[in-house]
Order: sequence, then structure tokens, then C-alpha cells
Amino acid sequence: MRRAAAILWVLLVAGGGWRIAHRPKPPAPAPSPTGGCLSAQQKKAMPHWTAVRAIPLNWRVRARDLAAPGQGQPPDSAKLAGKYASCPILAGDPVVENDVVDLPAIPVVAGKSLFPVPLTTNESESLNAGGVVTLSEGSRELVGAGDVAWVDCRNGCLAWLQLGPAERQLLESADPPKLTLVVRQTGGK
Amino acid sequence: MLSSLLDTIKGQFGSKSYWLGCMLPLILFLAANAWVAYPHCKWIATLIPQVDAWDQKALEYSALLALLLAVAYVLSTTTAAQLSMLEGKIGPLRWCARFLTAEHSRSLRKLDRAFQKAQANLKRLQGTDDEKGLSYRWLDLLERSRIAGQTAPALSPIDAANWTQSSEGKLLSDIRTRQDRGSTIDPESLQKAVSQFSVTLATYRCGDTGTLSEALQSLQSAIQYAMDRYKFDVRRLARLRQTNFPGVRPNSPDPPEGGVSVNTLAPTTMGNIGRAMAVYSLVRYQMDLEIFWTRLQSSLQKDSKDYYAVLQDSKVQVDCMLMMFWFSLVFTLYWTGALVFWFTDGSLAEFLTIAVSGTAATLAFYTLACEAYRIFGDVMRASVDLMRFQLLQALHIPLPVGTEEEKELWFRLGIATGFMDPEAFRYKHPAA
Repeated sequence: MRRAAAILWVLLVAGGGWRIAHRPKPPAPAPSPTGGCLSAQQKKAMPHWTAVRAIPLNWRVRARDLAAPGQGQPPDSAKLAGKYASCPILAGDPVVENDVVDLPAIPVVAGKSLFPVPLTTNESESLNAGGVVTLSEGSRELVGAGDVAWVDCRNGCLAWLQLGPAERQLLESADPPKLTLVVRQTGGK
Repeated sequence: MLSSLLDTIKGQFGSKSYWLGCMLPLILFLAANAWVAYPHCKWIATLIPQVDAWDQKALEYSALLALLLAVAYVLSTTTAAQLSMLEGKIGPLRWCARFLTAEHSRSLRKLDRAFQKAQANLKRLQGTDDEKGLSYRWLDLLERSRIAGQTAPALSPIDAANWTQSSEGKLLSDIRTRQDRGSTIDPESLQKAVSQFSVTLATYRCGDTGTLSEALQSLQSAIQYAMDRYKFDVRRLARLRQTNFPGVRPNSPDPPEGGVSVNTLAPTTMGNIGRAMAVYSLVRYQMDLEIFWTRLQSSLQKDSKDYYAVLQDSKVQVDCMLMMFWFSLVFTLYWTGALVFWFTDGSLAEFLTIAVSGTAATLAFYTLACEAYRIFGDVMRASVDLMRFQLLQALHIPLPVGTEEEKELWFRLGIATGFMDPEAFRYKHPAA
């Protein structure tokens, strides 16, 4: 009996392990539409701005994230601001047009989907990709820690959150005017 | 009524049993779950920044703490049920008793056979009052052979080397190795070695040094060791039998008359340890612990507070290990299932780590719980031996004059107290 129970448990664990090993892998992040990232050395030879902070992937670049370089003429800042980083950039590294795209490429996360939440002006100024927010309806917390995939300000500002099915269902059934958003982390480091 | 209930709860919260037996395992269980859940549930991370604002949420966190205390309290009231479940008295183990008991029955038969073999071998080696044992005869034969060979030529170095490589030399070497490893040496091997070596001793001079002298000393030592080892085995196996299984061994010199109700095997190791405790007092004194244990505890509390504290401590250890066992079982079953079906971001390495370490921890805690229960059983047996007369005095029953009278007295008291059969007793009241 004891041996039978041990064999059954080993079989169950092996079955569970097999299931996990053969679980469909989440698709790899979409390649950068610009066709690869340039090195800092390569970018220094081009007209560039300098990143005043680390800019992660899908970061909505703002004018205050950029500083004029010590020498040389930078490109028009309008070509960078409001666009999305397609390459991660370290603080102090050059930022060129090749580093940004008009729309971000959001990786698909297994079991999660994107859900838009409207932002106020203040929130849109502080929040960015990689941020974490809490959403409540009155005193009831609906989303404890929602990851911000990207901030979309094409037509008003929206934060696109990566949410699980349960959280999504809660938000869909909530009354939008009663939703309260609290920024836990603004994003980036 | 309410105040006495509150006193009970207050007393419970201050007890070692509550903190070590329930709260500590509960906190460890919650910590282990938080540690495993952390990568999968990001809301746990959001609790950490909120620690700064604890003073603003004093009410919520006080309520949480009160809930934790209450859960631990409820758990502390379930330890008896948990123990019964592991003993196979209730729950799924009882349903599988038919299959589980058979394994314990086989183990018991194996133990009894090993005991009988060790006892028989010890008797052969040691002898009886009427007949000298094999060990004496072997030592005597070796000594006589050594004396007979005193005038014979000694082994040359080449012959000594050849003798070491011979079957006789290898047999002696094998016996020495078994002694060095602490294994048993069967009388047949010793008999063969003595028979062959006595011829060699009579043929060649042994002397005080050299190959033959060393071999003789080794063999004499091995004969003594074999006897010691069987004596050790007899005691060890008898003790294993007494602490791990109910009933008495088949060749017991003084088996109990008639049947003993708790002699039947339980489906689990823990159940058998529990029944072994009850059998001890029943077989020795006809004292049924099911009836008298609570009364005996009262005598212990009154007359031997220190010993009662020892008993309580050993019970706390049992409760703590029991709780750890159940928690590790729940933890392992839940997380192995959850990582397969629920948390789809779980990795294979994480799953295997939890499945293997969780299973190992569960088995380890069960083994430790059994060991703690054995120790508790020992303490309990000792308390029966030491305190049974105090209980009789507390019941105002005259003390028995001999062992047979004591057995009869406990038997009669048992049926009068536990089964309401009419029995007449004469009281002996203490002098005012």
C-alpha cells in the first residue's frame, strides 16, 4: 500500500512536470520595427540627444527625459518626444531617431491581456511603461498591482494594463466613473 | 460562565503548547506560502511598501493579528483529532486500514523472527546453567590447541603470507571486518573458523607475536563480540517491540492471561505507538489507560508537578511535529497542483523543487512526530510506573500487597469505573 502510494505520487509529479515542460511557451517579444538597436558608439556619430535617465523598452519618451549633447546639433526633439522606445537606453547614452517608434510592440504575456484605463493629465505625466497602479471602486480594491504595459496619449491618455482574466472581469463589471487609480510606481528605475 | 471561558482562552494563549504547538508552525506555513507565492502574485509586493503606513491602518492590522491568534487557537483545539487521524482511528487512513495493517503485520512478524533468532543465537553462545555455551567451548578449544602447538615449528614468513591468503585466513579476516563494521557474526561462521584455526594452532607454534598470534586474538575478540552483539540485539529488538507495536512477543515467558483488547495492530506507525502505550499498563498492571489516564494526570499534577511539566513538554513536541506534518502536506499538495493548473508562469525547476522538498519535509515531519510520540510514550509509561499508587491513594483504595493482587485490583476498578459493572471495594480513608 505504501509502495503503491509512493509510485502513484511519483507518477503524479512526473505527469505534472511533463505538463509544465510541454506548456506552450509565451511568444518572444516582437522584434524592433527599426531592425535592431545601434550601439552607443554608433549613435554618438549621429545627431542625437542624451538620455537623462534610463529609458526602458516601450517607454513613452518625454522632453524632460532628454538633454542636449555637449557638442553637435541634436535632431528636432519633436521627432523623439511622445514616441516609444524600441531599444532600452542607459542614462547618459545617446538617443537617436532609430531608438523610437510611433507605437510600441507589446509582448504577449501568457494568461494576461491588455486593458485600457483613462489617465488624468497629472497621471499621464508621471506614469509610464513598467509602472504599477492600484485600481479601486469606492473602498473595494479591484486590482492590487496592475502592470502598465504602455501609456497611450494619441487621443487623451490611457494606461494599458497587463491583467489576468479575474482582474479584467472585475474591471469590466465596475462603474468607470467610480474607479480610483493610485500610482504605486511610476515606471523605470 | 463567560469569565471562566475567557480565563480558559487566556490560559491557552499563555501556554507553551499554544505558541510552540500551533502558532510557530502556522507562522512558518504562512511564510513558506508567501515565499512561493511571491513571484506569481504581485499584490504581495505591494504589501511591503504599505508597511510604512501601518500606523494608519492599526485597526486593520490588529484585526489581522487577532485573526491569526484565533486561527492558531482553533488549530490548537484540533490536535487530538489530528493525532487520531494519523493513528488511523478516524479519516481516510481508517478506511484503508485493511491494506495498511497488513504491512505492519509483516513488519511485526519480521521483528519477532529477528528477536527469536537473536535470542536463540545468544543462548547457543552463552549456554545455560546446565550446559556451557559455544563461546566457552570455542575459547577452550582454541586455548588447548595453542598449548598443543607450543612445541611445533613456527610458520615461516612465506607460509604466513600463504596462510593469510588461504580460505581459513580469509574467513578470519571476514569475521574481523564484520566486527569492525558493527555487524552481527553468526555462530556458524565462528564455528567454521574455530574448527579450521584450532588445527592450524595445534600444527604451528603461535607465539606471542606474529600472524597466528594476531589471528588468535582477533578470533577470541570476535567470539566475545558476537555474544555481546546478540545480547545488545535482544534488548534493542525487545525495546523496539515494546515501543512500536502493541501486544507481547509470541515466545514471551509471561503472556497475559486471556485476550487483551488493544493487542490488535493499527493501520499506521503512529497508531501502533499509541496502542503500545496502552498495552504496557494493561499487560503489566491490568490498568486500562483509556479509563485511568485522566485520573492519573490529576495525581501527577498534584503530587509531581515537575514530572507533569516533563510530560507536558513531550506532548508539546508531539503537537508541534504533528502540525508541521499537516502543514507541509497541505503546502506540498496545494503548490504542486497550483503550479500545474493555476500559475501558468511557474517553471519546471520550481515545480520539482516544491514537489521533492515538500515530500521530503512531509516524510521527515511524520518520522519526527513518530519519534516525539515514542518519547511521549516513554514518559507516559514511566508516569504509570511511578504514580499508579498515588492514584489508588487518591481514590481511597488500599494499596495491594503483591503484583497479582494489583492486577486484580486494577481490573476490578477498571470494569467498575469504565463499564459500570457492580464491584464492591473497601475504602481506606486517610487519617484526619
